Amino acid sequence: MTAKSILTAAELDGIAALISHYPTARAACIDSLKLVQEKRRYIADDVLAEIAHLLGMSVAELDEVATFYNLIYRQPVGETVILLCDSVTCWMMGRNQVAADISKRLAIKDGETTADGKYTMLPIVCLGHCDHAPAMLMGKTLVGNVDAAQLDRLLPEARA
Amino acid sequence: MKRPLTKNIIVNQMPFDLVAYERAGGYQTVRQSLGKIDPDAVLAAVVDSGLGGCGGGGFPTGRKWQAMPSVATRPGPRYFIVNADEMEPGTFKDRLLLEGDPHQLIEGIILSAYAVQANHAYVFIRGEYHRAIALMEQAIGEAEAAGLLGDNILGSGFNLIIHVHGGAGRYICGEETALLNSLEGRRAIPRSKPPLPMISGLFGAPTIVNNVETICNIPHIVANGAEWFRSLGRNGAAGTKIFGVSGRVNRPGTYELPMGTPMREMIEEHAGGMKPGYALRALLPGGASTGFMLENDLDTPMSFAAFAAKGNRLGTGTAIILDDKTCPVGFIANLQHFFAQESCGWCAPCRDGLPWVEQTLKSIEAGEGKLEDLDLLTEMTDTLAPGRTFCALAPGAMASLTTGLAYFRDEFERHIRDGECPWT
Amino acid sequence: MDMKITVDDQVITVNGDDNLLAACLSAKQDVPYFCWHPALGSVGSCRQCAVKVFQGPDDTTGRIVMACMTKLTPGMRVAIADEQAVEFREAVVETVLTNHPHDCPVCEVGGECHLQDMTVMTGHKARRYRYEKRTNINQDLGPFIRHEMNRCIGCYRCVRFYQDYAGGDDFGVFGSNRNVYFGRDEDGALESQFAGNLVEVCPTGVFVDKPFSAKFRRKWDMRSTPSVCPHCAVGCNITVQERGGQLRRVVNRYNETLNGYFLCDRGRFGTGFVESPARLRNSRNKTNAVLPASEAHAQLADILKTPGTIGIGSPRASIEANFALRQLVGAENFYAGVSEFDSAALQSAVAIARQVGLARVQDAEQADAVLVLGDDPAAIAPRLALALRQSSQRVPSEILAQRDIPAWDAGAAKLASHEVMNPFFVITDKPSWLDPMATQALRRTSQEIITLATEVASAIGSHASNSDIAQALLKARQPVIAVSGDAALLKAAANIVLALRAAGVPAKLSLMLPEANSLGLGLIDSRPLSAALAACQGQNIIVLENDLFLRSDRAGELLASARNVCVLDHIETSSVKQATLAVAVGSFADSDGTFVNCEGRAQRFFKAIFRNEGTTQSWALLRDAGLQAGLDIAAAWPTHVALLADLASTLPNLAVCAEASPETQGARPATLSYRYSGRTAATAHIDVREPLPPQHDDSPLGTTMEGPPIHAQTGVKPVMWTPGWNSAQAVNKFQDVIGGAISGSNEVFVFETPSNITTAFEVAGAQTTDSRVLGLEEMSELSPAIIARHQAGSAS
Repeated sequence: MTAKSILTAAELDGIAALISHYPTARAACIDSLKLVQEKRRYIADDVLAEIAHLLGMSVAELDEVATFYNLIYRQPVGETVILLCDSVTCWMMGRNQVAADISKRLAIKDGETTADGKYTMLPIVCLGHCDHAPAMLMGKTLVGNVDAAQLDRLLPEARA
Repeated sequence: MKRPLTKNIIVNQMPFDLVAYERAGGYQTVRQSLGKIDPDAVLAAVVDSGLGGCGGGGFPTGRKWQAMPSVATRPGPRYFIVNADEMEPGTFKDRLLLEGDPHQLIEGIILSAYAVQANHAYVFIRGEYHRAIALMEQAIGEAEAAGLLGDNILGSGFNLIIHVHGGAGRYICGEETALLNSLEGRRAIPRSKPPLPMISGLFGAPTIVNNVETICNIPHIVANGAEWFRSLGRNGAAGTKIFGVSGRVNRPGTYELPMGTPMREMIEEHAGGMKPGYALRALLPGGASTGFMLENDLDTPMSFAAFAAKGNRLGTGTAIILDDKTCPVGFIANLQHFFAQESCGWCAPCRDGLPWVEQTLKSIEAGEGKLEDLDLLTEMTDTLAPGRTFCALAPGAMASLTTGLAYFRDEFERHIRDGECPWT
Repeated sequence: MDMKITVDDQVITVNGDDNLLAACLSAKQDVPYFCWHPALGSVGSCRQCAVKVFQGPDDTTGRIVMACMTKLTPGMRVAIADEQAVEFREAVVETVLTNHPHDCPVCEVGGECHLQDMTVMTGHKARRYRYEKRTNINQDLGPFIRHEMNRCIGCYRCVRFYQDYAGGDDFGVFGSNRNVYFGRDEDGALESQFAGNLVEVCPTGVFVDKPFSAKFRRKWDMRSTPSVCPHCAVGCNITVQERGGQLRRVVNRYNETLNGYFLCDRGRFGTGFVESPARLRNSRNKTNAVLPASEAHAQLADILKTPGTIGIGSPRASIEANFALRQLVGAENFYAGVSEFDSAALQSAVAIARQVGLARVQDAEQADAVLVLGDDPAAIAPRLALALRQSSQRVPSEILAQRDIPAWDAGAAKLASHEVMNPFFVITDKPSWLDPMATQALRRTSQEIITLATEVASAIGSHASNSDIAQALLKARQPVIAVSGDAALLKAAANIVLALRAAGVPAKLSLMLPEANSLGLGLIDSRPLSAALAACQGQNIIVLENDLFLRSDRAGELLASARNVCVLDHIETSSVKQATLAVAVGSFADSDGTFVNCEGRAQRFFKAIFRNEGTTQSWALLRDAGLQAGLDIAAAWPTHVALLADLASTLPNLAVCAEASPETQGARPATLSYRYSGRTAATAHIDVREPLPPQHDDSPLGTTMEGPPIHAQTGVKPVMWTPGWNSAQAVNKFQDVIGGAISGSNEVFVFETPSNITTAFEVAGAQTTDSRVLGLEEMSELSPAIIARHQAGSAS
């Protein structure tokens, strides 16, 4: 590629390391998308195109993969993504009330990002924390038994 | 009671590192096996143990391994894959093993890969399990540094490299052939069988895909023998299993119990029975894709065979309790929402049928249903029955709907008749 | 291996290598399907072709299986009519229709829609889905295809054709679950040169032929005429559809050994030239004044009368037209009118074809080793390139057997194809479209390619182990050498084939020649334009459907040296501009004629467009002018059949052209469908009396809706339709077996059996200059759709 790389040296090195995990470069594509998303929060079109090029894939081929998986974001998201479980145990144990509470505190609905760009709220399938339902992921942190008190602690700027 | 799988796990504490794990007797089996006993002997022990796949299928692990062609007939790369894509609603047992004792899993992988002579292993962990991914990577690093992984492990001549592959979402990745597509950097669409992964799997090479819990059993089977393993079970079943309960019980959680323990014993003794004010109405015995089970069936031993005999499936063995204060229609609608959303989109009846089922249930739940809707739902359970869709996702979805329509028909009709949900 | 199975209590004989669906369809049973395609194989995604299979004689319950994914076993018992299977099939169609917009009345595909046909076949009538439908935003996919994503039923055929079969990587499937989207990563023209096939591959109206859409008529309201694509030497079989004297569209015409189910975009959209502004519709004199046809023909007669008139033929004109001109001016005054490069290549092509024989496109598809030499096949013979691509993807049968994969299981075979690739060598001077499929792709100059080919031939002869290519070809069971370039390279390639055959390997040779009738012209005459220039001493010149400026930079000199220059053509060209007399003639679509394609296959095309404008076919027009000029020879051609008889006696090489031209016996097959509507009303604003149907005697096909549906002697079938099968997939009903020949069809080849001469060709060193512009074809470049496609450019 003659054009200047959009990806940082660290990202390029990271992708190169991931490619070494597999017999084909393509196999590293999901890992690579996740790696780049770490810092950039989402995969912009130009970023996707450069990753595709690095892996010897066409843009369409990589986008077919990127749009399949729900943890690859192709649109901007907030600094912290709140993934609130909507599967059956959490539903039974009151996830809808929790969702309404978060919505009210942050003034966003599912799929939306707060005006300050801090939070995005999304539903997620079972997080494997059913014995502490309702559960959610705040960024990378798994939180169980989510209730108003927990939310006061986790979202200090948005106390009920 | 023996708890081989969880003996090293202490809740809310960091898992054993390599030193602690070895001090507890870990990697002894690897040291005594690699290069010292024949890979076929390891395989034979697993075959004899009667170990069944703990991802929910219960297929005999040894028989799966035996289906792999020999190195002589199929030279070239072979892969061993751990399916840690735990995403079945109501299931939280593999996370316990991944986060609680990663070295146990690594030891299991080493022995399993040795048995099938695979030199490359991948642990496919769902992307949401950030902690499990980090702990697993750390443990692999320790094992590599100690020469337990890499080239010529412990001078045995056996090579093995393990990579962790973090997923990016989607329940269907738990289907073993979809998982292979995902590992190859493709859309996670199930593959047609034949060929089975054992014949033509990852990158076309012979491949074994096993669940986390299944593999964690391997070191104990190899160390103690098949007979010992079989003796752990009750009611004709072999080994222990991590069972679990969620919902309105007093002590929701996971419990390592003998395979074949009656369901009632788990709920009443280990989970402490129902919370005050709640009664058990029904339960899904092993995740969202198993059928409802009523109170009068609770004495069924928790084994793959016993549940199959009842026309149900043990699934992952983690039960979800439907109590008497929860709307069964809403409960089933939530399950169908999950399956409709997690359909990969490959085969038509699943992709377009499940959303129709979901919409119909939501409409009934909202009091907008018609009696004909129940006929439609019944037809759908037939349209999406096993063998009619490309993989088992939609038939799994239908397990709760079929049994739900049979057990809670009056509830459905009440919603339709009254034009509202009695629980809201 | 044939075996007997029972389907709905009827014992049928099936090919045991087929899947159950293909076997049922071959037995002319109706089983609905969407994702299965005879050329794309089975993947089991649509679940529409469910039938019930019983295990053994005592099984009364049976089991629902997807026929397309089911292997055949001797004695197997199958029920298509089983109640459970019938209910399931209806449920599946009802389910996929939940998101379909039911916009049939405004959909171009309505009335020829596989989805409609299958819906009716399952018996599904009433809609029960009452919730919101999934909707999508359509993309601009360029000038060829319009996107109507809401109609999608998710059968995945488009992406399987586009990516897996045709190797395109700018189109795919995005999203998951119910929200799958078939399109590009962003708006823009589809890059694959086979994108047009999406129109026919899609079972409903997601991909619509855009130029057709602008001049749309229902399928049943168009005249359908079998024809041959004029845009390259492969000569794919096409059906030209017209109404009101206007070419509306071109669709694929199935021919199992040639184009099968697919065309290239140049073929599908290039024919737009017929209706383009670049069409020469009127004759003119040198002052550019329009001449009435009678006056133009009289002037042509005057020119023909002058002794010594030079005739310049054309590789894009029919055998008949070239022959008529040759006879009228005399063989000694007739020149092929091609460049020196092409002239030499044609001469050697004819000699090679006689001695070595020529591969069919199907041979290329089934090859187990391929060597491409010279030019990029995708530029010069796109459909052949697509066939070669398939050969590279085919998994060796031993591997399939070892993995327990039936050859029709496309999903499994695709996975196995990652493991093993057939040897595939691409040795060209420029990058080739086939490079990604190649086990080895080499860039060499033309001269180096000749040297390399010669070395390969000699390495094969001596069984030398130092040539990978020779080794791979020697190991193959049915290798194909595909070559295009100058005379020396063609010969060098032929020598490889001869060497392989001497070593016991039944290799075949594919000569990629430049134009629709290159080989046919070569069999009449191959003298270059320079020879005509040398002979011209101020005589008159008649140029037949040829732009000499594309042939030689001395074209101007030649035309200037002539007294009168008469150009017969159907398009505006530089030569037409220089003509003292330009005579407007019919295009291939307005004419009857024969092309000999690069396989040596003589193929007849039929007059497809009827306008009220008298005779326009070049050969008939030349005949009439010849008669007017008093040339007796023209009297021998009162009919097309008579002309072919004269051709056979004059040029015995081309006698087979008569065989390729079915004679009228009994009633002539109808070119209009039973449902052709508006016949009595179309011209009512001019005259309420119904006009007579067009009169045309030079074709064995009728011009009306009366007549049998198929030409009994040759299997030529103008309208592809049968009750319940309104889409292109009606072809199932007319094949002997699925994927086999159309029942009763015959193929005619000029070079039937190669001679037993094994002497190698002498390969000369120095070559004439190659001035060809590859990948561009004169006529298709005038098509508005092709022009628009070039302007849209490439996204990458």
